[in-house]
Amino acid sequence: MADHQKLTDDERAIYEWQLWVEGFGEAGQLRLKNATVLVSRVGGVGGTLAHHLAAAGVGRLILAHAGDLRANDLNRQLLMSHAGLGQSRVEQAAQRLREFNPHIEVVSIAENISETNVERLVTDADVIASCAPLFQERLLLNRAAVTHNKPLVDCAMYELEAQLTTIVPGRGPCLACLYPEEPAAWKRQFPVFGAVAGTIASLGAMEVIKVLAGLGEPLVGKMLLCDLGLMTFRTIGLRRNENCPVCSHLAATNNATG
Amino acid sequence: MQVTVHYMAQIKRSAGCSLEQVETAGAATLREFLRCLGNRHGPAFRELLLDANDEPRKSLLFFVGDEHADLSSSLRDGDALTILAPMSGG
Repeated sequence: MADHQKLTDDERAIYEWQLWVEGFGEAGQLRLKNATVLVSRVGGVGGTLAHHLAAAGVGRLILAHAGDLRANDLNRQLLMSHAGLGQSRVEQAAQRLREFNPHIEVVSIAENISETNVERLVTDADVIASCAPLFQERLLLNRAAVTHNKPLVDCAMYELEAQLTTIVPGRGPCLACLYPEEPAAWKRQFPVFGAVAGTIASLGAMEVIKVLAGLGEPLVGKMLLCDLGLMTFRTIGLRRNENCPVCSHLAATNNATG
Repeated sequence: MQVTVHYMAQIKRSAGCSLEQVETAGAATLREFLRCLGNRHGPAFRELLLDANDEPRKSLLFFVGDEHADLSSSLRDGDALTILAPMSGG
């Protein structure tokens, strides 16, 4: 983490409403200011999540996403613009966030998570936000997060439903405990509304903020299930897989919070 | 024994409903119940639920009430089972 010991007057003004939150205050804001969060893909989920983290004053955001904007991204990718069709998604997202909050650093990586970059990107972050559509990327991130003892917030959605969990290695199940293999039937494109993406992104951003600031109770060992068709929200208790090839070697008492 | 089954994500479309009451006899464990359930909604549903060896798919999550359930968990009359198919970001 960088070593910023104080907030500037500008920062106090921008974050004033959240500085009033009990249990957060200037100490919490400094924790956000000194933090780096890796956001895997800045689509409908990751883009909105990153927007909230920029608004909250997370000091450094690393955005990783390959490819150029397509028309069918625009129902949910709110950091983009129609004029940006055919141009880099991650550059548009980074530019928008820099304009939105010039007090933070935004690093853009025009790559998706892969075997070749995952170690470098994960070790550079304090918390990871997993928002990619492919299980291969999510499971790679999970493995590196466990190896390097980094908290990971995993967001997912389908049609009108969404799920959210926070992985703190050793304190609850990791993603490989839940998904021991890549689902055969899963495809990169699937039905969803942008408002569903935005809902789970906002909740995921709150999890990242809670983990960084030591606020509230993150969803460690729990999964939030949202059905926006019925407007129901349930929190389910999750179990670790004692034979998990990724995290079973970790003692259950690990208290890492990044 | 009657179990309320709640389907979420991709498997809901294959089941054709989000919620149903399932009467079964002789299915003491979750694994046995799911094998019976596999015959209920046609081949696409069965394909999402069970693999070629009739084993429940490892990519599905099962919750009884509000707790993550093991395939060897016992099911009881009146239980509410949620079957959560994989979902992802995007």
